Amino acid sequence: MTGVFLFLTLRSVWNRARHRLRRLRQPRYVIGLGVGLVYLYWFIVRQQLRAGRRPFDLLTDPELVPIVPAILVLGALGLWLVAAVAWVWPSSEPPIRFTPAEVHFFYPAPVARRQLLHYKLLRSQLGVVFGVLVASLFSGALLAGHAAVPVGFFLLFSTLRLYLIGVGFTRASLSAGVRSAPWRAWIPAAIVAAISLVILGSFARMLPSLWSLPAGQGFRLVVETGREGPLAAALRPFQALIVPVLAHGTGQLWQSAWPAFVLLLVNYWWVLQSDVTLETAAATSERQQASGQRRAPAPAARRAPFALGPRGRPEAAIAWKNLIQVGRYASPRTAIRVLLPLVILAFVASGAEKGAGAAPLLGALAAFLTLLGPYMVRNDLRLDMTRLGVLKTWPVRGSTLFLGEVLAPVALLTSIVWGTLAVTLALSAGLAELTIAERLSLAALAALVAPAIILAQLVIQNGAVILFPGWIPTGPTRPRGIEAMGQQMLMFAGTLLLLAIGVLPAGAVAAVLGFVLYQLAGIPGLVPAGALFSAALIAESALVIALLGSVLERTDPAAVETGEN
Amino acid sequence: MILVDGLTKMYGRLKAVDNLSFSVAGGEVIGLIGPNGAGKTSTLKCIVGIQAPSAGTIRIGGHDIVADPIEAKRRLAFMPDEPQLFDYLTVREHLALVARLYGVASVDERSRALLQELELAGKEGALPGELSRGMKQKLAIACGLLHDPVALLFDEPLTGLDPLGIRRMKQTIVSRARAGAAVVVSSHLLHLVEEICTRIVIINHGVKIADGTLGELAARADLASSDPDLEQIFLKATGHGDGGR
Repeated sequence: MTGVFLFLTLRSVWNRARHRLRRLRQPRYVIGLGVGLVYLYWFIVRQQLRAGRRPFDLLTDPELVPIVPAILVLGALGLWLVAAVAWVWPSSEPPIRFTPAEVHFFYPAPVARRQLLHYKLLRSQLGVVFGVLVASLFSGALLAGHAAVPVGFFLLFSTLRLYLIGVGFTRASLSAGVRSAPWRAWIPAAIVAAISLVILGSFARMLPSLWSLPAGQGFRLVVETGREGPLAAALRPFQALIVPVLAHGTGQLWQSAWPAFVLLLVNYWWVLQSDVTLETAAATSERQQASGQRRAPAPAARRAPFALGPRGRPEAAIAWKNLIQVGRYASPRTAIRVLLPLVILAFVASGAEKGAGAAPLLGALAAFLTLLGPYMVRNDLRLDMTRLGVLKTWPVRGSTLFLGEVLAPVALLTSIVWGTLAVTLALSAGLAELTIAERLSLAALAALVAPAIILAQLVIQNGAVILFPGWIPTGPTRPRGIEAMGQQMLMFAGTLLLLAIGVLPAGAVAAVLGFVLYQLAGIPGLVPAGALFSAALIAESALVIALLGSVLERTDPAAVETGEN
Repeated sequence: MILVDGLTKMYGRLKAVDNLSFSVAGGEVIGLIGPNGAGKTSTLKCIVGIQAPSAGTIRIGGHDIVADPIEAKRRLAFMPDEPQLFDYLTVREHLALVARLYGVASVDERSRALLQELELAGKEGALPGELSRGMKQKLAIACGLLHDPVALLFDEPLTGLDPLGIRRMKQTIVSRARAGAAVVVSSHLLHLVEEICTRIVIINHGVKIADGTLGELAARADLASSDPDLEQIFLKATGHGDGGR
């Protein structure tokens, strides 16, 4: 049976590679490949070759040796966080996912469940190997022929993957109503819980000092504490997975890698012990497939953002639909995952007593969200073009549809940016160099300009989907590979170029007005200029929406490029 | 209600539909049948405005689908073979969305009646992922019927339905026609077409090869056979004169 699974795995890899190569006949992919390769060469390969440096000489390079303890402590803390969070907030993805074809062919076939598990573990290694390649390339290890580093990455990624599968199995057995998982299955949970108690206890003891110390000294305190005593002991298993990545040379690798290798084997054993729950996981996949449910993550029926009346503009209905989509797929966990690092960052940046230190950071975050948010929030035509056949039966103009589609991400991103600006304003009280009026003016200026920039970018992104439906992938999945990366970079560069062109007329007029008013009234004088800029950019966007709306009406659903599964 | 005049649809050099003309009056149920690849779905997609015709005219209630698409689309509903639903909208929200898009005033009353008729009552808060294949099909049909369209187009309407659902679906189609709607049913289920359609249009390679009632088709010399049912007529019309045997 192993031969069959090996055959399937290798043929799948081979056929996928052939498919990728074959699609290079199309200009969009070959151009994307060219851009992707140029990027990789220019920013990765060339840099590493030019510098002539050896990667990860952390253990021998006298300049880098001092940061090794920090990497070991912070890296181990990061891994502990992943390990602990996996139990508390498990991934919405099933630990092992069976494709419809696998369910169809393997479930009725005379295949033992343990064989199936081995097959899925084998397949999961493809992702691990890809991750190792990418990590090794970006670290420079690949080009330097540094064989130890990829092995270290493999041990790290593979152990992590097995651990997460094990957590998923153990949890699945509980959620499926199994009264008790085998006692062995709970050993890792008990170990992680014990380690978590030690780590949290150590941090609780450090908290008063961390609160009073400046950020840099607080950071050093954490590293020093993590090098000895109970915290060091608690972090040791996680550090065992990091040390092989830092190993210099194969000799050092063999010396340092055995604890990581033991951890890998222990996790493998744990997953195999849990295979009683594979039935549950597999049956869940099978049930979902049989009932025609979409694969995880599935939406959850929560309240709509507002009640939609039968009368009114259709744009509001389309925006309502897209806003519901965000609420149904997002979860409190998602919000915590996004907000927690920001809170930590703000805390670190703020120092102990000065909230003002966080204000610039949050201001930068607002700018980041304004400029990059439209690429991340895609609940507009970039998702809905796959349903163009349905949208085209609606009795609405193309421009109405276009506007309705971009309204939801505009509203969402604007709300987030405005919220961030409000917090920034509140925290900026400690910025002595600015008066209240100036701070209010800057916040108002940003609040006026941000929605227009967000709208303009969304119009460009959605406009590109309408104009080049065969070039821009749509739907929830995205194409993979270097050529797809190149395509996305082209798209990003094109958006920035068009945004710059679009901003020019609005910016020129606003700059003149802003210059005059600034001379007269200082920073508050910039607010009317910002309002003018915003109005001009919104007018430009409206013009583009009107023009491309008629193109959307003529777009053939069959010409739309969908993502890759 | 539905007028198709000289419809041609090209995909590159391939002519999927070739100078097709037919009309459907209010109260009529037209069965659009043909072998795989005959151009049925292309015809339906052109009629409802999903695809632009390469040539010809399509009018819905007197409104040209190309020149006056909004008014034309207000009057029609298209039920595809595979229900196209939004995974993240509940049954009730699907109906609310459609009501707003089509400006249906008495949405609560209409929704309740439709959900009752289509046996979806009690499922108002369910997401499509929680519905069976047949229920999804019914929801798509409820969305299509909510604005009381005068032109209805069904593509394989019985797919995925249980026997009771099939009976109800046939009743729904016939009752809409009796209420004055013009209905087009595209299906490979010839017994369904024979049972509910008042007229039959057979197309092959994009060309109309027969158009008339079952009696009229059976009376045609080139389609006549000893066993004048629709299956025999269809097989003869599409070039399988010996009945495919």
